[in-house]
Amino acid sequence: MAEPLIRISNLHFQYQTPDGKALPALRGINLEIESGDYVALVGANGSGKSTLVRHLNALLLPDRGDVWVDGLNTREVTAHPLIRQRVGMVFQFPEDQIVASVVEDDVAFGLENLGLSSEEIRQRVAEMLQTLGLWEHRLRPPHLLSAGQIQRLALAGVLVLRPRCLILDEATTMLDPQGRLRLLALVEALNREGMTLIHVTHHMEEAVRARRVIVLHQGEVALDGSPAEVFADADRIRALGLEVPPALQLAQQLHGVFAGFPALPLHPEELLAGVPRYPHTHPAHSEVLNDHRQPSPALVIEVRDLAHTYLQGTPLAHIALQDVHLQVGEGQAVALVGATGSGKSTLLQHLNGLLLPQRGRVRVGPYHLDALQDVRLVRRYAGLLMQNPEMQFFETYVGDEVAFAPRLMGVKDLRERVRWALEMVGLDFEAYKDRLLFTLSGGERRKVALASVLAMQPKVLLLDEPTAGLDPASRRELLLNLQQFKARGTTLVIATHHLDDLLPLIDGIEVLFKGTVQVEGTPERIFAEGLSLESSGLVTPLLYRVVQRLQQRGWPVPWVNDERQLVHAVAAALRMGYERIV
Amino acid sequence: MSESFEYLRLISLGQYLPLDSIIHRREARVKVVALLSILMAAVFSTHLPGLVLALIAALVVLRLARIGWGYALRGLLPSLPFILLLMGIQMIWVSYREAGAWEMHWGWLRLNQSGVIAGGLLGVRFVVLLLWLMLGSYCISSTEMVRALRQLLRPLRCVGISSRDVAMAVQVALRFIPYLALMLERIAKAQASRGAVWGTRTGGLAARVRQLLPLLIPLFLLTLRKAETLALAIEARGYSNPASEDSLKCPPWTSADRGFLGIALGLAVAILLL
Repeated sequence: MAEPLIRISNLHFQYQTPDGKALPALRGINLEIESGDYVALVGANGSGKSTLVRHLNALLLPDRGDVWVDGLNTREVTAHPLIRQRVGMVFQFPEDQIVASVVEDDVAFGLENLGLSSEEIRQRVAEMLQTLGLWEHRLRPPHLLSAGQIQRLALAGVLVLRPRCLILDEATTMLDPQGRLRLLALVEALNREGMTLIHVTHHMEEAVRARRVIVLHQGEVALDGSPAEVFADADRIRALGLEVPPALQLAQQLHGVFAGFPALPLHPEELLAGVPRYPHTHPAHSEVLNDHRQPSPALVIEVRDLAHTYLQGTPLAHIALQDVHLQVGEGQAVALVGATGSGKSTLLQHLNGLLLPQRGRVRVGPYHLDALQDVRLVRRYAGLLMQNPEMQFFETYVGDEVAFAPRLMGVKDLRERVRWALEMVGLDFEAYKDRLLFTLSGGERRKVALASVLAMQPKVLLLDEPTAGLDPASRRELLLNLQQFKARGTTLVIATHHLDDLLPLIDGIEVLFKGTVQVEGTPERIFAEGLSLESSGLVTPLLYRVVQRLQQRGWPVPWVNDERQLVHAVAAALRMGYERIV
Repeated sequence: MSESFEYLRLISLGQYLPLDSIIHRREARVKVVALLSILMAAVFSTHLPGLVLALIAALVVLRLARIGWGYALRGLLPSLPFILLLMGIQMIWVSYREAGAWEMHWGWLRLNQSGVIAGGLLGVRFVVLLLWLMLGSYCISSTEMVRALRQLLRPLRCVGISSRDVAMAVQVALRFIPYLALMLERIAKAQASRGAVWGTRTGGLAARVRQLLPLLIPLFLLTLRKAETLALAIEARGYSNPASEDSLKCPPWTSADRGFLGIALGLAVAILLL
């Protein structure tokens, strides 16, 4: 039998903490990856995924055990150039991987290292830029590209080397749903041409696209097999901090109500194709399409004619917002969605006065931002959780970090306030207050960041991509937290690419496109009317696609916001049918 | 009213502007050699006419490179207080040491003609140097700079210094400048969101420095982390490969390049001799 492309034997690796303790990251990994395979590597935050893949191109070397790539042992330093030529890797934060200050030069970087001729380099760079749609941007500085463009640039710099194996280490995190699908389609096409693909991801709907799924848990291989095998045991998957793919999860619940639904679909398409026809004669739709619109609450946020241009008056100026209108009622949860670079973060930063209106009016609670004396007041009223907040911690200990804002506000019982904020996000005050921030897991860090905003007791909570980079279990807990805040009357404005995660929470959606609000309305309205949202980078959430398909197949089910409601609606529709027969 | 977080706006120095102009199109080595010779001439020039010539030339080249004067001059603003301070010190210092055609006294303070001339020269020289440095960063991308350095420093190989490593270090340093500004912006925003106040110019110098500390520490840590990822990415893309060092663009010099270099060297001599 042919030698596998990658062979890992009894791999052990540990990190040294600053206080001299050893932190085991990988504990006896044995794996073989065949040439041309498509592997998804999943696991909770901190399970060792990134550490493992960094061994595959000799960025890390084993403490014990061996890694062979194409027959080359990674311990042989002289083999490193060859190994790295064969195994390319794209990391989570694309901007950290860019070497040059011009797009085309960055793509050429790896080829220059290979020592190819100028002619060949020029040709391969041009080809790659065109394939990835970066040709028009070839002369721009990378730090001014959009998130999607810079991610494609990072990919181009690796693919241009024509690696035999490509590793994506959570490389889709910063992209909008359409962007993710496009990126995956691109690398999957290369996989069909023979390139081995290893995809590290937190999204199970992405993992099921692979032929093989490997689950890591605390530095060991917990499960390894085809997606169908790995996700068969839902309880085990949850115990490992993961979740079953959304299509499977929904199908299992529907299957429990009515056996006509497919029991084990992994892909959304399988579930949709398997939606059965309504087994009874169906009543008219209008009877069940309940319009549960409540009287509009008082408006907390009002934005009119807002416009913003970054770097105004310089040759690098670009328009981020124009003529934006936004209204958010008290206690509502509104999602700002749209492609990367559509202006979501810019709008969000206007709502707590980080940016002040260049044109137009912004009112948040009692504060008018165009005529404000002390901008700190609005920042307390509307707390903002920035993107990747754990990268902006300023203290060393959890307690100090959470106390930062209330201390500046002059809160009297600081200790009580910190305790309250930590408990709001489900962290025990005594257990966590003296822990070092950098020893926390990814999910815990996000919670501390959330707690440190909550410590100001804001009336409005602004969240920028709150679920990005979190594993499924942490995403679930965050959703529960947000639901609690909403129940207590907090108004939420959330900029997100991951609408699926937050759907049960959302009252309204604002779709931004190139700096303006293109569409707004309730989730039902936006997705029921099947508005074309592809240009906005959106993908219709699975739940709505299923509702749509059910209705097409004669089921009298209304538009609903979460899975439980859908299961109830399907059960009710069945009962209704039986009652008619009786 | 309130603070602005657009730190990127403040660092026109170190920012490449990818424009298409007669200046930008010149070959990298030509641009680097021209810039260096004019900078050297401006440093060693001892008379005002030469420096004024260099100033006028900088303004003309800005125009040719399609860069607004306003944008470039704004880039000078942050350094202005330092330049004025140095000018003041120079004026007083020279006034004490050298005799001048006229002299003025305010208490212990003495100011004479040679002091004013020396201070003025110093000020003009700094403005000229800064303008040319900014021009260099606007018109020479870091990759071009690195490529030129690599080729120009190649003779150093005989004393055991790798021109490629030197060039790489310069490249990474240059690339980090705009990213530092962006990171600083994010950290400042995160802290401001939680009640910290920036740029309100309250309190004395010590208070303001103390205010800056919580900003600098995360910036420092974040930079280290970014540098680590960058190092990984550079490694992963095969940098340590000792293969030959060809590069994307190695165009032959055109007659325009030669003409440009000729004019630049002529200009440098004129600055020095006038």
